[in-house]
Amino acid sequence: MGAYILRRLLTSLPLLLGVTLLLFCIMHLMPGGPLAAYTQNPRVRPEDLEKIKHIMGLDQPLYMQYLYWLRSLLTGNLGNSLFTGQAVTEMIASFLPNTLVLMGTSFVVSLAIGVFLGVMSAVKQYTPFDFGVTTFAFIGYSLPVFWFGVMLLLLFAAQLKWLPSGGVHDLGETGLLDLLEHLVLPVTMLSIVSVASWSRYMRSSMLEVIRQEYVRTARAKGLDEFRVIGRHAFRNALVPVVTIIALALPGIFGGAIMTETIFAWPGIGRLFFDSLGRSDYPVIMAILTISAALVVVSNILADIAYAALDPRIRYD
Amino acid sequence: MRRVLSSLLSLGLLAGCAGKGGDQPAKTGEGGGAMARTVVIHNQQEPETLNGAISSMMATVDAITPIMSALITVNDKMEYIPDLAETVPTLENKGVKLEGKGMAVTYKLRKASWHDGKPVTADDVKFTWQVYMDPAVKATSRDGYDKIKAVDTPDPQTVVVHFKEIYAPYLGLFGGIFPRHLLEADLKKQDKPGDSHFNQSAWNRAPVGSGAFKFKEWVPGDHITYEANSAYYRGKPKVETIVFKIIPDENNAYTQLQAGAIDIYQSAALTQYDQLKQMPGVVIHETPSLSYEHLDFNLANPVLADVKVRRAISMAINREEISAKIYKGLYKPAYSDQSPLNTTYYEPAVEKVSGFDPEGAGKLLDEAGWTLGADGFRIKDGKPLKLTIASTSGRKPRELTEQVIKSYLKAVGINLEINNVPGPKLFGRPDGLLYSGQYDLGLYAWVSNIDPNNIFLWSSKQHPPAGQNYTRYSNPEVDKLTEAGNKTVSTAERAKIYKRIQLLLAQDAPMMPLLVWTTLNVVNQRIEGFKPNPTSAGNLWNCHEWAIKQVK
Repeated sequence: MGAYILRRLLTSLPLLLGVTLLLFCIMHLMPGGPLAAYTQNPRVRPEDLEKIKHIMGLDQPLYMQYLYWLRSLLTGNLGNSLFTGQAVTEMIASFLPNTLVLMGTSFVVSLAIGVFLGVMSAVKQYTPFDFGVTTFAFIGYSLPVFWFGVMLLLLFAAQLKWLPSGGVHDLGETGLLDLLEHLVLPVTMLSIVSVASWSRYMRSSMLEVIRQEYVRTARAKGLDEFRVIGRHAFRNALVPVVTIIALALPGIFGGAIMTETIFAWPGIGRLFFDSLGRSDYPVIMAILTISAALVVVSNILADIAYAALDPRIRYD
Repeated sequence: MRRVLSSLLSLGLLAGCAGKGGDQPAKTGEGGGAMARTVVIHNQQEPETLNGAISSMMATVDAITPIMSALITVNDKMEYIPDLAETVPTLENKGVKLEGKGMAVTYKLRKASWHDGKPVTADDVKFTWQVYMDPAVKATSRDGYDKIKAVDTPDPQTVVVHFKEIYAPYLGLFGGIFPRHLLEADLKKQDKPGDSHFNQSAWNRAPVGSGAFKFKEWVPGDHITYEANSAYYRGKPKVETIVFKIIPDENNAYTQLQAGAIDIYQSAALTQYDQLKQMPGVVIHETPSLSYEHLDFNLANPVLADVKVRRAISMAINREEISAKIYKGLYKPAYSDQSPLNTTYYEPAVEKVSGFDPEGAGKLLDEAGWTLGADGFRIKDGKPLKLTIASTSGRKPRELTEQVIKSYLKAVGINLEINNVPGPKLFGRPDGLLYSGQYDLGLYAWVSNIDPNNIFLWSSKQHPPAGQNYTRYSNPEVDKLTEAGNKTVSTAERAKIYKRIQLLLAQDAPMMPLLVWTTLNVVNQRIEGFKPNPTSAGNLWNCHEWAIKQVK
C-alpha cells in the first residue's frame, strides 16, 4: 500500500508540471494583464508604465517568466504578489483559515444531511417523504446563489436582525459564538445547494444496492432492518459516493467566490477573484497549482478509501 | 447577549421550524462602549497597499487619507487648502518665484510629528521627491516630480522646490509625505536589480504617517482599523476609531447599513437609490462627481474627420432624456471636459454651443453631403452612413444609453451598430480598441481634476502611443494653449486659457460630454461633519473634524 501511494505521488509530478505550464499559458491569454489597472489613469505615462513593467518582470520573455515562477515554486515561497508586494504564501495563509472554516463546516453539515436524506429516501422510495426530498433537491439545486444569498441577508440580517450580515467576526469580537453566528447564513446558503446534490447521489447509489441479492440474504437471515440498511447496504452504497466526495475536497481549499462575496467573507475565493481581476499572476498561479495538486491527492485518497470500504479491492 | 437565537436558528432553518422574533442587535451608536466612538466606513475594494506612491487603485487614496499628510490638500469646494504647509504658496503671496526658465516654490511646514513621535521635517519632503524619482520604485506616475530640479531644505521647517520649467499644476504634487527615517533603508535595498525593497516594504501594510489617525491593524479581506492620533497638529480628532470594512457586494453593504453595522456607505449603487431614500436614520449625500460619461469620436475615421458629422451627432443626442430615463435624473448633463464644480476654470458658454437640436443635426448632415436614402439612412458617394459604438460590456446603464443613442441617430439618418467588449479589450494597451484606434464612437468615462491640465487628452503630440488622445484630435491652437496652460502660474491667466480650450473643443467636437456622474454617499445620521469631497482628497479629507452624536 505504501509503495503504491508513493508510486502514485511520483507519477503525478510530471502531470502537475504539465498542468502548471498549461495554466501559465492560459493565464497569459487573458485580455488585459497586470498593467491594465494603470492604463485608465491619464497620469500614468508610457515611460512610467515601462518602469512598472520592468519592476514586475513582465518585460522578460514568457518562457523566462515561467522559469522564474518554477524556481519560486521549488523554493517554496511562490513569489510575491505584483500588487500587494506580499509573499504569496503569506497572502494565502491569511485567507485560508476563513475558507477552511466556512467550506469545512458546510461540507460536513451538507454531507451529513445529504447522505442521511439520500439513504432515507431510497429506503422509502416513492413515499411522500421521498417525493418531498426529491422536490427539495431540485429546488435547492436550482437556487441561484446570488439571489438566494441576498434574500437570506435581507430577511435574517436586515429585517429580523437575528444574524449578522457579513464578515467572519463583529468588530472587536473574536469569540467562537460570534464566529458561529457569522457562519449560519453562508453555511446555510452553501449547504442547501450541496445537500441537494449529495442526497441525489446517495439515493441512486443506495437504490442500486438495496436490490442486490446479498441484501435479500441479509434480510432472510433475520437481521433487523437497521442492520441490513446500515451495515450491509449503506457501506456498499458509499463506494461510488466516496469518489464524488473525494473530488469535492479540493473545493474546500478553493472557497466559494459567490458566497464569499455576498457575505463579505474574506476567503480564498475572493482572493482568487480579486487577483484574477487585476491579473496578479503569481497569486493566480499559486491558487490554481495548489488546487490542481489537491485534485491529484484527493484522487489518491479516493482510491485508498475504496480499498478500505471494499475488501475485494487491493493495490499491490 | 446579542443574537442569542442564532445557533438555534441554524437548526431551525434546516428542520423547517420557525424561531421566535429575536432581540434587536445593538446599533453601532447605541449603548455606549467603544463602538459609540467608532465610525465604520464601507469600502467596496480592498486596497492593495497603503503606500500611495505605488498603488494603482482609488481605494488606496481613501484609505490613506486619515493617516497621511499632504503639503496641500483640496476641500469640498474644490479649493486648495494647506495641510502640512502653513499656507498655499502662490505667485501673489510670493510663495512662488520665477527663476530663469523655471520657478521656485517655498513651503513653510507646521510643527508636526510622525506617529512614532519623530518630527516631520523638510527633509522628509525632499525624501518624498527622491522616492518618486527612484527608478527602482514602482511609482504609478512621476508626472510633475520629473519637472523638479532640486529640493532645498534651508531649515527643518522650510522646503524650497526648484522646478526646471514653469509647472502650473505644482499644487497637486506631494500628496503624501513619506518618513525618511523609516523608509530610506528599504528604498536603498534592492530585492532584485531594479526592484527596490520600498515596493515590498512592511511599512506599506502598516504605515507610520503623520495624519489625524494612526494605523492600528489590517485584517486582510475584512477590515483596516485606525485610531485617533492625540498628537495631531490640528488637535486630537473627536472620533476615536475609524474602521474601513471591505464589503465587495453592494446588497451586503445595503444590509449592513440598515443593520447599523456600517455608518458610511460610499458610492452606493444607483439601483438602490429608491430604497435608500426610504431607509430611516440615514442621510443621502448626492454629490456631483468629477467623472463624466462621454462619447469619443475617432477622427482617424474619414467620416468622423468631418466636424459637421461630429457636431450633428452631438446635436442629435438628448442628454436630459438619457439623464432622466436611465440615471434617475441623478447624472446631470455635461458639456465640458472640465467639471462645472471647478468654477475657476469651467466655461458655462459651452452649454450653448451644441444643445439638443435634431433638425439642426439633419441640416448639418445635408451640408456635409450625406443625403437621406429611401431606407431612412444617409448616403454619400454611394456609401451608407454607418458607424459603430464601442463600450464596456456588462454595464447596464451604458448598454441602455447606447440603445437610446442608436435611436437618436437613426432619427437623423445615421445607422449605428453596437459593439461592446470587456474593459481590458476597450482600454488595454497596445491592443485595446481606443488605443489602437479600432473604433468609431467610444462611450466611457473620464475623470477631470481640480487642476485643469488636459494636454494628454487633446494635444496632437499625445496621439497613442505617446499619450491618451484617443480621438486623434489635432488643432494647432489647442496644442499651443494646452502647453501654455501648463506654463502659466497665475490662476487668472490660466483660467482664460482653459476657457478658450473648452470653447474650441465645443466647436470642434472631438468628444461629446454626456453626463456628469453623481456619487451617492449614504451616512448614518449619528455622524456629524461628513462633507463629501469629489476630488482625489476623498470623502475622508476632513475626518479629523467628524464627530458622533450620542444616540439615547
